[in-house]
Amino acid sequence: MTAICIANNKGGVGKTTTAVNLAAGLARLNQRVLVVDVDGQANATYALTGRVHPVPSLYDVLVGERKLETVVWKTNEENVWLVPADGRLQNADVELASRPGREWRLAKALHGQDFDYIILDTPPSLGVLTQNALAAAHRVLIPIALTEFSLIGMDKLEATIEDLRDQLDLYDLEIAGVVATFYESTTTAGETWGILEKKYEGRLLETRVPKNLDLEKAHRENESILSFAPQSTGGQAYMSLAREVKKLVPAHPQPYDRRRSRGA
Amino acid sequence: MSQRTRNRTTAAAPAARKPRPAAPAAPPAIASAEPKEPQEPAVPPAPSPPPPLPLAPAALARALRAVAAEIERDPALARRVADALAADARAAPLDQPEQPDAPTPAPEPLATGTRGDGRPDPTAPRVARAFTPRLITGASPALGPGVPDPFALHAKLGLDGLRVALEELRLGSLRAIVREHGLDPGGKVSRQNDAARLRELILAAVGLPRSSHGEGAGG
Repeated sequence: MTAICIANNKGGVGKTTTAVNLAAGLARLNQRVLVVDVDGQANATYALTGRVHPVPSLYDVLVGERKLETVVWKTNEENVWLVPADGRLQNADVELASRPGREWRLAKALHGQDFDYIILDTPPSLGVLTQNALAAAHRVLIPIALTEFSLIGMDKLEATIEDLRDQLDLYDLEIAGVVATFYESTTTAGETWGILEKKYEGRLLETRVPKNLDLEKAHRENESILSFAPQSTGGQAYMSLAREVKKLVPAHPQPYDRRRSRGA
Repeated sequence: MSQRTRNRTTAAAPAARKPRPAAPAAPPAIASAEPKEPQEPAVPPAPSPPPPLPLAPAALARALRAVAAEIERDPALARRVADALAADARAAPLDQPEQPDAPTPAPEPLATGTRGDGRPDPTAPRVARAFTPRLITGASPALGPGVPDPFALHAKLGLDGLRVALEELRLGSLRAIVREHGLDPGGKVSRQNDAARLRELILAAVGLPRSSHGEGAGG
């Protein structure tokens, strides 16, 4: 079991699209995947099931006392399961703020789950929910849109990961890679790619996810691009990303165990 | 809280309060869960002044314009509002006598981009109509979690109810139902992005004895 957190504090960079389609790609590589929707906007939940803000959800696990197993759903994708989110999760940052061990609640809830991969889709912030996802993850995958503003705020995310690593003893939490999204053959995208290559030398993944309308249409049809339009440029890119991630971050054979003495 | 923070906080508080002018009579809250004192009767006696508006006229007008714009964009919403208004209009003569103090309705505004005689006004700004976003409410909670079980839905809702439930579902959910219940062994229909055919396939399958399709896994 390997947990990968899809994180970027900037919104609209393709976090949910990457989480959903990476999960579907890994499933097509015969991996059993659990997607955890840690974002109160619940877009991954909608994209994989067609449901909007279902209850009970991850909120009841993190803020309430519900067992995670009771909110694991089958999704529209074969071999992909989901822990859904609903709008109440947007208040969870505040509700968890005063609780001891608040960053560890998700990691504890996931303990013992037996999938090959857990994909954690996070909100565009660095609050308690994202900290829970980072604390529960073995690796972080950062999608970056190849746009003018893409590099602003990146240092903040890296600093947060560094802080968490120190505060929570997450010595093995590493950035698995940076994946470029919304790629277009334009000068701006090319220049941004060049900057990323220098900044993330050795960690910038080869796959570039193009700007592709089919990716949006697939969300609308509540399925992954690999079910909706596997031959589209977006479909091919996400299949390629899944292969790259599987090679870069192999699934650990043991069930999930991310507890640390301080939080468990 | 540290001493430094406390000092800063206590020092800043009066400064922050200082510029606030003496509060005039506070307008009533727009929405409050708190119980309020008894309200004026719906039809007050003539000499008493009208109660203050819960919303400033300009704000009310802005809100109504926003609603009107949304109704223009969303035919489903327009239908719901029209139905509700029609129902109210039917019920009104029986339920509510006409109120003598009711404000006179304003003259109906001209449609955007028209002149007084109803003809198009060439100088009016054009309104783009191509973008018609819809409100996404998602599939019904009655479907339960996970991949819906059409056989259970059929037993619960009947064939017509199942048909309505399937209409709510998009390609992904329909394909998942077909896959989970083995309704398309060759995958011929599932490979196509054709929701109508998937719905037909599911409806045809539940119309047959379940044993002919094997046991479904359900969600």
